[in-house]
Amino acid sequence: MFAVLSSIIILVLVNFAIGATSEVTSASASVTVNTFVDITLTDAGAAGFAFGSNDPGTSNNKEVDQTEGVSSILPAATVTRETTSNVGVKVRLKGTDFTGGAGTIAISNAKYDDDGAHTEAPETNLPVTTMTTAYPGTEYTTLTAVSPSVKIWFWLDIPTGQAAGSYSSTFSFEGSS
Amino acid sequence: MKTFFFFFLVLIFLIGVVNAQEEEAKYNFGSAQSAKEISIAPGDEVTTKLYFYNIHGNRITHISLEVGEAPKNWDISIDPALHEISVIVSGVTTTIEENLFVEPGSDVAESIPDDVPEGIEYISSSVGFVGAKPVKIKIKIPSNEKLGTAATVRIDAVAEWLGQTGTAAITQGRSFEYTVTVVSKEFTETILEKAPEKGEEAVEEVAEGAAKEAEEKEPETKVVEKEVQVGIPISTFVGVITVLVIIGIFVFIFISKKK
Repeated sequence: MFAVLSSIIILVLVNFAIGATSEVTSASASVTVNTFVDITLTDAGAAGFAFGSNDPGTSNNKEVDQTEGVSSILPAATVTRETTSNVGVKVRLKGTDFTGGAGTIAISNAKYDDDGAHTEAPETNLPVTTMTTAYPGTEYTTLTAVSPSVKIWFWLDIPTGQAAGSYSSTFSFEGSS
Repeated sequence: MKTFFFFFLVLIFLIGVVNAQEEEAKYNFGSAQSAKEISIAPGDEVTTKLYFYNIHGNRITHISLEVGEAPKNWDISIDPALHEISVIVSGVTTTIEENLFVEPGSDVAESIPDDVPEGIEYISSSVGFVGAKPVKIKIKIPSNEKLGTAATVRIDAVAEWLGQTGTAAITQGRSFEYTVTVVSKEFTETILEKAPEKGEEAVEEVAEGAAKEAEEKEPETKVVEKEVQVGIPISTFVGVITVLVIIGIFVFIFISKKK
């Protein structure tokens, strides 16, 4: 009788053991981490970019609040990737043509650099770049946790024969993941 | 003495005013996108959210949103919609168009507060829970949209700040892209054609040669009816055998006792 009961118990245990190991079911699992992009533009001096009063045919008129030179630490603007961001933030710039006077100043007369010397040769960091009406195909720089900010200096050329007047534009900074 | 203290307080106040005026403008534009890949059934509508906050700025961020890219027959709406508001900037009343504005000093908390202000939702970020303003993006697709279609929906945002006096006003731009896939409401799986095994393929290539080339020129989809084979798990098989053995043992004991 003992042998019979032992056999039954062993068989039941074997059944459970095989059942536990042979039916492995897998299911897919997924999770999405939300994308945070947080950019601050610090605008030195008066709010907005100003290029002052200039004569036609003058070049490289600086944004009035920036100081020039390769060792300058006072840019027109600083773009900062804030700590809530959890992605690398690609920075691109564009602008609209200057309008409002008796004519237009094409935005291609404006340029920017990541240092205060647009004539720096050889260029040490990011290149001097001409402004365009659409965001360029490639980013100017990518801001990361390690390198979270970039300083920007601006210059504007006034074409020869440009009509007198007050002109305005909009400079846009794109920060995208 | 009182006069001295009075002038001292006035002086501190004036210094404070001057410092406040000289503070650099900080234009902050914070956003969170909750989903980038969305599945939707034909004729259905799905709502996703964008969140906007302004922790680090010292100016009100005015945000306008528009649909930058979407299939023509899809209905994309943004809530709150673009609307006009009047704002007094340095004493001058101005009317602007925007979807929403976010004031500086968005709350950052260790946990979601008990009293959440109306129109604010707290989202978890790397610096804590951020009090952000949500924007609902509703995507509705036609009922005849083809299953398997994957399209890009892009929402373009522009953040502006008022009161800029320079020649060039500063704005920030940002695009939010979604990949929307059209799927069936119910799960179905149909095997269209049996994939040839490696060995079979080699034989066919040698034997059929040119005939196969001709077939490749005119590909056609064949629906192959397959007999569904139901496999019995090992544990079930062993379980049945075990039960049968146990029953057999009991029957054997029962018969033995009767004898």
